Amino acid sequence: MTTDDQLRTALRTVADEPAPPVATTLDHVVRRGRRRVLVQRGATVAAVVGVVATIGVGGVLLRGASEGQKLPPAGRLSPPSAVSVPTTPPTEAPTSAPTQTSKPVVPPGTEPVVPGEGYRVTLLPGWAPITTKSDGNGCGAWPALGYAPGLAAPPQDVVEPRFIDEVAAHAKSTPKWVEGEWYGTDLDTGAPRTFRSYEIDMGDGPASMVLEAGHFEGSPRKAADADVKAFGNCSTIQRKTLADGTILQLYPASFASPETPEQDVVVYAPNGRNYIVITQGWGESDVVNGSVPHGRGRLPLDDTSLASVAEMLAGLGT
Amino acid sequence: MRGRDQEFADFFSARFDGARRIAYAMCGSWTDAEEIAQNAFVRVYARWAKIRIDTVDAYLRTVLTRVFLDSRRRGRAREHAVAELPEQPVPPDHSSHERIAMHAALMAVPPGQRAVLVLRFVADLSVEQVAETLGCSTGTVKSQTARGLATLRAAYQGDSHLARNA
Repeated sequence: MTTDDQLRTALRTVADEPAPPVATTLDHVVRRGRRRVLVQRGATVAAVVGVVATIGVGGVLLRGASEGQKLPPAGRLSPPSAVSVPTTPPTEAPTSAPTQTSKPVVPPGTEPVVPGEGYRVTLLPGWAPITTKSDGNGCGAWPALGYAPGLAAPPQDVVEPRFIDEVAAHAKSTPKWVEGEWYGTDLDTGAPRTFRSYEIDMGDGPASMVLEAGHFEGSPRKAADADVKAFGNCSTIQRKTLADGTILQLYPASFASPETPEQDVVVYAPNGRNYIVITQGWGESDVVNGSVPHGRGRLPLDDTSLASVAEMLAGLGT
Repeated sequence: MRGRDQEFADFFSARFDGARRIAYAMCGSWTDAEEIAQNAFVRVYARWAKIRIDTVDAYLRTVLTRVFLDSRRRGRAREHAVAELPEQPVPPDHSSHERIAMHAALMAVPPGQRAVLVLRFVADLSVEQVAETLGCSTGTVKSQTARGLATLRAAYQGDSHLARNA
Protein backbone atom coordinates (compact mmCIF):
# COMPACT_ATOMS: atom_id res chain seq x y z
CA MET A 1 0.00 0.00 0.00
CA THR A 2 1.37 3.39 -0.96
CA THR A 3 0.97 5.94 1.80
CA ASP A 4 0.14 9.58 1.23
CA ASP A 5 3.66 10.51 2.34
CA GLN A 6 5.17 8.17 -0.24
CA LEU A 7 2.89 9.62 -2.88
CA ARG A 8 3.87 13.17 -1.96
CA THR A 9 7.55 12.27 -2.07
CA ALA A 10 7.17 10.62 -5.48
CA LEU A 11 5.11 13.57 -6.75
CA ARG A 12 7.95 15.96 -5.99
CA THR A 13 10.10 14.20 -8.60
CA VAL A 14 7.80 14.44 -11.61
CA ALA A 15 9.18 17.77 -12.80
CA ASP A 16 12.80 16.78 -12.19
CA GLU A 17 13.35 14.88 -15.40
CA PRO A 18 15.75 16.21 -18.08
CA ALA A 19 13.87 18.77 -20.14
CA PRO A 20 14.24 19.75 -23.79
CA PRO A 21 15.84 23.17 -24.36
CA VAL A 22 13.60 26.17 -23.83
CA ALA A 23 12.28 27.32 -27.22
CA THR A 24 10.59 30.51 -26.03
CA THR A 25 12.66 33.66 -26.33
CA LEU A 26 12.28 36.84 -24.33
CA ASP A 27 11.82 38.81 -27.56
CA HIS A 28 8.88 36.66 -28.58
CA VAL A 29 7.18 37.05 -25.20
CA VAL A 30 7.72 40.82 -25.17
CA ARG A 31 6.38 41.21 -28.72
CA ARG A 32 3.23 39.25 -27.86
CA GLY A 33 2.90 41.08 -24.55
CA ARG A 34 3.08 44.50 -26.22
CA ARG A 35 0.50 43.45 -28.78
CA ARG A 36 -1.75 42.32 -25.96
CA VAL A 37 -1.35 45.67 -24.18
CA LEU A 38 -2.26 47.52 -27.38
CA VAL A 39 -5.34 45.38 -27.92
CA GLN A 40 -6.45 45.91 -24.32
CA ARG A 41 -5.97 49.67 -24.64
CA GLY A 42 -7.90 49.65 -27.89
CA ALA A 43 -10.77 47.81 -26.24
CA THR A 44 -10.80 50.28 -23.35
CA VAL A 45 -10.86 53.28 -25.70
CA ALA A 46 -13.62 51.67 -27.74
CA ALA A 47 -15.64 51.04 -24.58
CA VAL A 48 -15.26 54.65 -23.44
CA VAL A 49 -16.23 55.94 -26.89
CA GLY A 50 -19.23 53.59 -26.84
CA VAL A 51 -20.39 54.83 -23.43
CA VAL A 52 -19.98 58.49 -24.46
CA ALA A 53 -21.82 57.86 -27.72
CA THR A 54 -24.62 56.04 -25.88
CA ILE A 55 -25.00 58.91 -23.42
CA GLY A 56 -25.00 61.40 -26.30
CA VAL A 57 -27.56 59.51 -28.35
CA GLY A 58 -29.67 58.91 -25.25
CA GLY A 59 -29.66 62.63 -24.51
CA VAL A 60 -30.74 63.47 -28.03
CA LEU A 61 -33.52 60.87 -27.94
CA LEU A 62 -34.74 62.07 -24.56
CA ARG A 63 -34.80 65.64 -25.79
CA GLY A 64 -36.67 64.49 -28.88
CA ALA A 65 -39.18 62.59 -26.76
CA SER A 66 -39.73 65.58 -24.52
CA GLU A 67 -40.45 67.63 -27.63
CA GLY A 68 -43.21 65.24 -28.62
CA GLN A 69 -41.30 63.21 -31.17
CA LYS A 70 -41.89 59.45 -31.35
CA LEU A 71 -39.08 57.19 -30.18
CA PRO A 72 -38.05 54.39 -32.51
CA PRO A 73 -39.31 50.97 -31.46
CA ALA A 74 -37.04 48.95 -29.19
CA GLY A 75 -35.19 46.01 -30.64
CA ARG A 76 -32.48 45.24 -33.11
CA LEU A 77 -31.53 47.89 -35.59
CA SER A 78 -30.91 45.23 -38.20
CA PRO A 79 -32.88 42.03 -38.52
CA PRO A 80 -30.85 38.86 -37.95
CA SER A 81 -31.17 37.85 -41.56
CA ALA A 82 -28.76 35.46 -43.17
CA VAL A 83 -27.78 37.75 -46.01
CA SER A 84 -24.23 36.91 -46.90
CA VAL A 85 -21.56 39.35 -47.93
CA PRO A 86 -18.47 38.10 -49.70
CA THR A 87 -15.43 38.35 -47.51
CA THR A 88 -11.78 38.57 -48.27
CA PRO A 89 -8.80 36.94 -46.64
CA PRO A 90 -7.60 38.50 -43.41
CA THR A 91 -5.81 41.77 -43.95
CA GLU A 92 -3.74 41.66 -40.81
CA ALA A 93 -1.75 39.14 -38.92
CA PRO A 94 -3.52 37.30 -36.10
CA THR A 95 -3.04 39.11 -32.81
CA SER A 96 -2.39 35.82 -31.05
CA ALA A 97 0.78 34.29 -32.39
CA PRO A 98 0.52 30.53 -32.77
CA THR A 99 3.08 28.70 -30.77
CA GLN A 100 2.29 25.03 -31.09
CA THR A 101 4.18 23.19 -33.74
CA SER A 102 2.03 20.65 -35.45
CA LYS A 103 1.45 19.52 -39.01
CA PRO A 104 -1.94 20.25 -40.52
CA VAL A 105 -3.96 17.07 -40.51
CA VAL A 106 -5.98 16.93 -43.69
CA PRO A 107 -9.56 15.79 -43.21
CA PRO A 108 -10.77 13.02 -45.50
CA GLY A 109 -12.18 14.28 -48.77
CA THR A 110 -10.03 17.37 -49.05
CA GLU A 111 -7.05 18.00 -51.26
CA PRO A 112 -4.25 20.57 -51.17
CA VAL A 113 -4.72 23.78 -53.10
CA VAL A 114 -1.30 25.21 -52.31
CA PRO A 115 0.86 22.80 -50.35
CA GLY A 116 1.18 24.08 -46.83
CA GLU A 117 -1.15 27.01 -47.41
CA GLY A 118 -4.65 25.66 -47.74
CA TYR A 119 -6.91 22.83 -48.70
CA ARG A 120 -9.92 22.67 -50.95
CA VAL A 121 -13.15 22.55 -49.00
CA THR A 122 -16.74 22.24 -50.08
CA LEU A 123 -18.12 25.72 -49.52
CA LEU A 124 -21.55 26.14 -48.04
CA PRO A 125 -23.90 28.43 -49.99
CA GLY A 126 -23.33 32.04 -48.95
CA TRP A 127 -20.05 31.32 -47.18
CA ALA A 128 -16.71 32.65 -48.37
CA PRO A 129 -13.36 30.87 -48.13
CA ILE A 130 -10.60 32.27 -45.96
CA THR A 131 -7.23 30.75 -46.72
CA THR A 132 -4.79 30.81 -43.86
CA LYS A 133 -1.16 31.09 -44.77
CA SER A 134 1.15 28.73 -43.05
CA ASP A 135 3.94 30.43 -41.12
CA GLY A 136 5.56 27.19 -40.11
CA ASN A 137 4.20 27.33 -36.59
CA GLY A 138 1.14 25.23 -37.28
CA CYS A 139 -2.31 25.89 -35.85
CA GLY A 140 -3.55 26.11 -32.29
CA ALA A 141 -3.26 29.86 -31.63
CA TRP A 142 -5.09 31.24 -28.63
CA PRO A 143 -8.53 32.63 -29.45
CA ALA A 144 -9.07 36.39 -29.30
CA LEU A 145 -10.78 36.42 -25.93
CA GLY A 146 -11.38 39.74 -24.24
CA TYR A 147 -13.74 41.78 -22.12
CA ALA A 148 -16.66 43.77 -23.45
CA PRO A 149 -17.72 46.07 -20.57
CA GLY A 150 -21.36 45.88 -19.60
CA LEU A 151 -22.08 42.68 -21.51
CA ALA A 152 -23.61 40.08 -19.19
CA ALA A 153 -23.84 36.36 -19.80
CA PRO A 154 -26.55 35.40 -22.28
CA PRO A 155 -29.80 34.28 -20.61
CA GLN A 156 -29.66 30.54 -20.05
CA ASP A 157 -33.42 30.08 -20.29
CA VAL A 158 -33.36 31.59 -23.76
CA VAL A 159 -30.19 30.24 -25.29
CA GLU A 160 -29.77 26.73 -23.89
CA PRO A 161 -33.16 25.28 -24.91
CA ARG A 162 -32.77 26.67 -28.42
CA PHE A 163 -29.26 25.26 -28.67
CA ILE A 164 -30.35 21.82 -27.49
CA ASP A 165 -33.36 21.80 -29.83
CA GLU A 166 -31.30 22.89 -32.82
CA VAL A 167 -28.62 20.26 -32.20
CA ALA A 168 -31.24 17.57 -31.58
CA ALA A 169 -33.00 18.42 -34.83
CA HIS A 170 -29.82 17.80 -36.81
CA ALA A 171 -28.26 15.00 -34.77
CA LYS A 172 -31.51 13.06 -34.30
CA SER A 173 -30.58 12.67 -30.66
CA THR A 174 -31.03 15.05 -27.74
CA PRO A 175 -27.83 16.40 -26.16
CA LYS A 176 -27.53 15.70 -22.44
CA TRP A 177 -25.59 18.08 -20.20
CA VAL A 178 -22.50 16.49 -18.66
CA GLU A 179 -20.38 19.30 -17.23
CA GLY A 180 -19.74 23.02 -17.10
CA GLU A 181 -21.51 26.08 -15.81
CA TRP A 182 -23.62 28.72 -17.49
CA TYR A 183 -22.87 31.75 -15.36
CA GLY A 184 -19.13 31.37 -15.01
CA THR A 185 -16.23 33.78 -15.29
CA ASP A 186 -13.34 33.69 -17.70
CA LEU A 187 -10.32 33.00 -15.54
CA ASP A 188 -8.04 35.15 -17.65
CA THR A 189 -10.09 38.20 -18.55
CA GLY A 190 -12.70 38.24 -15.79
CA ALA A 191 -15.48 38.44 -18.37
CA PRO A 192 -18.67 36.41 -17.93
CA ARG A 193 -18.20 33.10 -19.62
CA THR A 194 -20.42 30.13 -20.28
CA PHE A 195 -18.93 26.68 -20.76
CA ARG A 196 -21.35 23.79 -21.10
CA SER A 197 -20.52 20.33 -22.40
CA TYR A 198 -23.21 17.93 -23.65
CA GLU A 199 -23.14 14.40 -24.98
CA ILE A 200 -25.07 12.86 -27.84
CA ASP A 201 -25.77 9.17 -28.20
CA MET A 202 -24.27 8.06 -31.52
CA GLY A 203 -25.51 4.46 -31.22
CA ASP A 204 -22.01 3.03 -30.75
CA GLY A 205 -21.03 5.49 -28.03
CA PRO A 206 -21.11 9.17 -27.17
CA ALA A 207 -20.09 12.26 -29.09
CA SER A 208 -19.75 15.70 -27.52
CA MET A 209 -21.10 19.17 -28.14
CA VAL A 210 -19.59 22.10 -26.26
CA LEU A 211 -21.18 25.53 -26.09
CA GLU A 212 -19.09 28.46 -24.93
CA ALA A 213 -20.30 32.03 -24.67
CA GLY A 214 -17.78 34.73 -23.88
CA HIS A 215 -16.37 38.08 -24.90
CA PHE A 216 -13.90 39.07 -27.57
CA GLU A 217 -11.85 42.21 -28.15
CA GLY A 218 -12.28 44.66 -31.02
CA SER A 219 -14.62 44.38 -33.97
CA PRO A 220 -16.11 41.08 -35.16
CA ARG A 221 -13.94 41.28 -38.26
CA LYS A 222 -10.76 41.89 -36.27
CA ALA A 223 -11.52 39.07 -33.84
CA ALA A 224 -12.41 36.67 -36.65
CA ASP A 225 -9.18 37.56 -38.46
CA ALA A 226 -7.22 37.03 -35.26
CA ASP A 227 -8.76 33.60 -34.84
CA VAL A 228 -8.10 32.15 -38.28
CA LYS A 229 -5.67 29.69 -36.73
CA ALA A 230 -7.34 29.28 -33.37
CA PHE A 231 -9.17 26.11 -34.34
CA GLY A 232 -9.25 23.61 -37.15
CA ASN A 233 -6.29 22.21 -39.00
CA CYS A 234 -4.64 25.33 -40.43
CA SER A 235 -6.42 24.91 -43.75
CA THR A 236 -9.18 26.87 -45.49
CA ILE A 237 -11.97 28.06 -43.26
CA GLN A 238 -15.38 29.44 -44.21
CA ARG A 239 -16.83 32.78 -43.18
CA LYS A 240 -20.24 34.39 -43.43
CA THR A 241 -21.03 38.01 -42.57
CA LEU A 242 -24.60 38.80 -41.60
CA ALA A 243 -26.40 42.07 -42.25
CA ASP A 244 -25.94 43.30 -38.68
CA GLY A 245 -22.17 42.76 -38.84
CA THR A 246 -22.13 39.40 -37.06
CA ILE A 247 -19.45 37.10 -38.43
CA LEU A 248 -19.73 33.32 -38.46
CA GLN A 249 -16.50 31.37 -38.88
CA LEU A 250 -16.63 27.66 -39.64
CA TYR A 251 -13.45 25.66 -39.29
CA PRO A 252 -12.75 22.36 -41.04
CA ALA A 253 -12.85 19.22 -38.98
CA SER A 254 -9.48 18.29 -37.55
CA PHE A 255 -8.45 14.76 -36.84
CA ALA A 256 -5.96 14.16 -34.05
CA SER A 257 -6.52 10.55 -35.04
CA PRO A 258 -9.06 9.00 -37.42
CA GLU A 259 -11.27 8.12 -34.46
CA THR A 260 -11.28 11.49 -32.71
CA PRO A 261 -12.40 14.29 -35.02
CA GLU A 262 -13.21 17.75 -33.73
CA GLN A 263 -14.81 20.75 -35.45
CA ASP A 264 -15.54 24.32 -34.39
CA VAL A 265 -17.72 27.21 -35.43
CA VAL A 266 -17.52 30.66 -33.85
CA VAL A 267 -20.06 33.48 -33.83
CA TYR A 268 -18.72 37.04 -33.39
CA ALA A 269 -21.57 39.46 -32.61
CA PRO A 270 -21.19 43.26 -32.86
CA ASN A 271 -21.79 43.63 -29.11
CA GLY A 272 -18.58 41.72 -28.29
CA ARG A 273 -20.26 38.37 -27.60
CA ASN A 274 -18.80 35.25 -29.09
CA TYR A 275 -20.31 31.81 -29.18
CA ILE A 276 -17.93 28.92 -29.72
CA VAL A 277 -19.54 25.62 -30.62
CA ILE A 278 -17.30 22.58 -30.58
CA THR A 279 -18.34 19.17 -31.80
CA GLN A 280 -16.20 16.16 -30.93
CA GLY A 281 -16.36 12.53 -32.01
CA TRP A 282 -15.94 11.17 -28.51
CA GLY A 283 -17.32 11.49 -25.00
CA GLU A 284 -16.10 11.54 -21.40
CA SER A 285 -16.21 7.75 -21.20
CA ASP A 286 -13.58 7.58 -23.96
CA VAL A 287 -11.04 9.58 -21.97
CA VAL A 288 -8.29 7.37 -20.56
CA ASN A 289 -5.52 8.94 -18.51
CA GLY A 290 -6.20 12.35 -19.99
CA SER A 291 -6.12 11.30 -23.62
CA VAL A 292 -8.61 9.77 -26.02
CA PRO A 293 -7.33 6.56 -27.55
CA HIS A 294 -10.61 5.67 -29.26
CA GLY A 295 -13.67 7.54 -30.44
CA ARG A 296 -16.55 7.32 -32.88
CA GLY A 297 -14.53 8.29 -35.95
CA ARG A 298 -17.25 10.72 -37.04
CA LEU A 299 -18.93 13.89 -35.84
CA PRO A 300 -22.56 14.22 -34.76
CA LEU A 301 -23.13 17.21 -37.07
CA ASP A 302 -21.95 17.89 -40.62
CA ASP A 303 -20.80 21.29 -41.92
CA THR A 304 -24.31 22.37 -42.88
CA SER A 305 -25.80 21.41 -39.51
CA LEU A 306 -23.01 23.05 -37.52
CA ALA A 307 -23.41 26.22 -39.59
CA SER A 308 -27.14 26.11 -38.89
CA VAL A 309 -26.49 26.00 -35.14
CA ALA A 310 -24.23 29.04 -35.47
CA GLU A 311 -26.84 30.97 -37.46
CA MET A 312 -29.46 30.13 -34.85
CA LEU A 313 -27.22 31.50 -32.07
CA ALA A 314 -26.50 34.64 -34.10
CA GLY A 315 -30.21 35.15 -34.65
CA LEU A 316 -30.96 35.16 -30.92
CA GLY A 317 -29.42 38.63 -30.65
CA THR A 318 -28.08 37.90 -27.18
CA MET B 1 17.23 53.55 -13.61
CA ARG B 2 16.37 50.04 -14.67
CA GLY B 3 13.76 49.98 -17.36
CA ARG B 4 10.50 48.11 -17.19
CA ASP B 5 11.63 45.71 -19.90
CA GLN B 6 14.94 45.02 -18.16
CA GLU B 7 13.12 44.08 -14.96
CA PHE B 8 10.86 41.79 -16.92
CA ALA B 9 13.87 40.31 -18.73
CA ASP B 10 15.44 39.42 -15.38
CA PHE B 11 12.20 37.91 -14.18
CA PHE B 12 11.79 35.91 -17.40
CA SER B 13 15.34 34.55 -17.19
CA ALA B 14 14.94 33.56 -13.56
CA ARG B 15 11.48 32.05 -13.71
CA PHE B 16 10.64 30.70 -17.17
CA ASP B 17 12.17 27.27 -16.84
CA GLY B 18 10.66 26.73 -13.40
CA ALA B 19 7.25 27.76 -14.68
CA ARG B 20 7.63 25.42 -17.64
CA ARG B 21 8.42 22.53 -15.31
CA ILE B 22 5.34 23.22 -13.19
CA ALA B 23 3.27 23.36 -16.37
CA TYR B 24 4.86 20.09 -17.48
CA ALA B 25 3.90 18.43 -14.22
CA MET B 26 0.33 19.58 -14.80
CA CYS B 27 -0.06 18.68 -18.47
CA GLY B 28 2.47 15.87 -19.08
CA SER B 29 3.76 17.31 -22.35
CA TRP B 30 6.82 19.49 -22.84
CA THR B 31 5.27 21.00 -25.97
CA ASP B 32 2.11 22.02 -24.13
CA ALA B 33 4.13 23.11 -21.11
CA GLU B 34 6.16 25.47 -23.28
CA GLU B 35 2.98 26.95 -24.72
CA ILE B 36 1.32 27.30 -21.32
CA ALA B 37 4.38 28.96 -19.79
CA GLN B 38 4.78 31.28 -22.76
CA ASN B 39 1.14 32.38 -22.61
CA ALA B 40 1.44 32.94 -18.88
CA PHE B 41 4.49 35.17 -19.33
CA VAL B 42 2.76 37.13 -22.09
CA ARG B 43 -0.08 37.87 -19.67
CA VAL B 44 2.35 38.79 -16.92
CA TYR B 45 4.17 41.16 -19.29
CA ALA B 46 0.90 42.83 -20.25
CA ARG B 47 0.26 43.66 -16.58
CA TRP B 48 3.88 44.15 -15.55
CA ALA B 49 3.47 47.85 -14.69
CA LYS B 50 0.57 47.08 -12.34
CA ILE B 51 2.05 44.12 -10.49
CA ARG B 52 3.85 44.67 -7.21
CA ILE B 53 7.23 42.97 -7.26
CA ASP B 54 6.51 41.09 -4.02
CA THR B 55 3.40 39.52 -5.53
CA VAL B 56 4.68 38.76 -9.00
CA ASP B 57 5.50 35.11 -8.28
CA ALA B 58 2.01 34.52 -6.92
CA TYR B 59 0.53 36.25 -9.94
CA LEU B 60 2.59 34.09 -12.30
CA ARG B 61 1.43 30.92 -10.53
CA THR B 62 -2.18 32.02 -10.78
CA VAL B 63 -1.94 32.84 -14.47
CA LEU B 64 -0.02 29.66 -15.24
CA THR B 65 -2.61 27.49 -13.51
CA ARG B 66 -5.49 29.29 -15.17
CA VAL B 67 -3.93 28.96 -18.60
CA PHE B 68 -3.45 25.24 -17.95
CA LEU B 69 -7.02 24.70 -16.79
CA ASP B 70 -8.37 26.75 -19.68
CA SER B 71 -6.37 24.75 -22.19
CA ARG B 72 -7.75 21.48 -20.75
CA ARG B 73 -11.29 22.69 -21.21
CA ARG B 74 -10.65 23.68 -24.77
CA GLY B 75 -10.31 20.23 -26.18
CA ARG B 76 -8.57 17.02 -25.50
CA ALA B 77 -7.79 16.37 -29.15
CA ARG B 78 -4.67 18.47 -28.84
CA GLU B 79 -3.69 16.66 -25.65
CA HIS B 80 -4.24 13.35 -27.40
CA ALA B 81 -2.17 14.40 -30.42
CA VAL B 82 0.71 15.50 -28.26
CA ALA B 83 0.51 12.48 -25.99
CA GLU B 84 1.58 10.23 -28.84
CA LEU B 85 4.71 12.20 -29.66
CA PRO B 86 7.93 10.93 -28.09
CA GLU B 87 9.16 13.78 -25.98
CA GLN B 88 11.70 12.15 -23.73
CA PRO B 89 14.85 14.18 -24.34
CA VAL B 90 17.07 11.37 -23.12
CA PRO B 91 16.36 7.63 -22.91
CA PRO B 92 14.87 6.75 -19.53
CA ASP B 93 17.19 4.89 -17.21
CA HIS B 94 16.11 2.47 -14.53
CA SER B 95 15.83 5.18 -11.87
CA SER B 96 13.45 7.23 -13.97
CA HIS B 97 10.87 4.44 -14.40
CA GLU B 98 9.23 5.23 -11.06
CA ARG B 99 9.03 8.89 -11.98
CA ILE B 100 7.47 8.06 -15.34
CA ALA B 101 4.94 5.79 -13.64
CA MET B 102 4.10 8.57 -11.18
CA HIS B 103 3.63 11.10 -13.94
CA ALA B 104 1.44 8.70 -15.91
CA ALA B 105 -0.66 8.19 -12.80
CA LEU B 106 -0.87 11.94 -12.26
CA MET B 107 -2.35 12.33 -15.74
CA ALA B 108 -5.22 10.09 -14.60
CA VAL B 109 -6.23 12.69 -12.02
CA PRO B 110 -8.84 15.22 -13.25
CA PRO B 111 -7.21 18.53 -14.27
CA GLY B 112 -8.56 20.60 -11.37
CA GLN B 113 -7.38 18.15 -8.72
CA ARG B 114 -4.16 17.64 -10.65
CA ALA B 115 -3.44 21.36 -10.50
CA VAL B 116 -3.97 21.28 -6.74
CA LEU B 117 -1.60 18.33 -6.30
CA VAL B 118 1.09 19.93 -8.45
CA LEU B 119 0.84 23.26 -6.65
CA ARG B 120 0.89 21.57 -3.25
CA PHE B 121 3.60 18.97 -3.77
CA VAL B 122 5.61 19.91 -6.87
CA ALA B 123 5.59 23.70 -6.40
CA ASP B 124 5.63 23.08 -2.64
CA LEU B 125 2.99 25.65 -1.76
CA SER B 126 0.98 25.79 1.43
CA VAL B 127 -2.75 25.12 1.48
CA GLU B 128 -3.32 28.86 1.88
CA GLN B 129 -1.08 29.70 -1.08
CA VAL B 130 -2.86 27.16 -3.30
CA ALA B 131 -6.22 28.58 -2.27
CA GLU B 132 -5.01 32.07 -3.17
CA THR B 133 -3.65 30.83 -6.50
CA LEU B 134 -6.88 29.12 -7.45
CA GLY B 135 -9.18 31.71 -5.91
CA CYS B 136 -10.96 29.19 -3.71
CA SER B 137 -11.24 28.34 -0.01
CA THR B 138 -8.68 26.37 1.96
CA GLY B 139 -11.40 23.79 2.57
CA THR B 140 -11.76 23.27 -1.16
CA VAL B 141 -8.02 22.83 -1.51
CA LYS B 142 -8.00 20.21 1.26
CA SER B 143 -10.90 18.25 -0.19
CA GLN B 144 -9.47 18.46 -3.74
CA THR B 145 -6.11 17.30 -2.40
CA ALA B 146 -7.66 14.30 -0.67
CA ARG B 147 -9.68 13.29 -3.72
CA GLY B 148 -6.72 13.85 -6.03
CA LEU B 149 -4.44 11.72 -3.86
CA ALA B 150 -7.02 8.93 -3.81
CA THR B 151 -7.23 8.88 -7.60
CA LEU B 152 -3.45 9.16 -7.86
CA ARG B 153 -2.91 6.27 -5.45
CA ALA B 154 -5.20 3.96 -7.42
CA ALA B 155 -3.61 4.87 -10.74
CA TYR B 156 -0.05 4.73 -9.39
CA GLN B 157 -0.45 1.30 -7.83
CA GLY B 158 -1.91 0.05 -11.11
CA ASP B 159 0.96 1.46 -13.15
CA SER B 160 3.60 0.24 -10.71
CA HIS B 161 2.08 -3.23 -10.81
CA LEU B 162 2.18 -3.21 -14.60
CA ALA B 163 5.77 -1.95 -14.61
CA ARG B 164 6.91 -4.68 -12.23
CA ASN B 165 5.31 -7.34 -14.39
CA ALA B 166 6.55 -5.94 -17.69
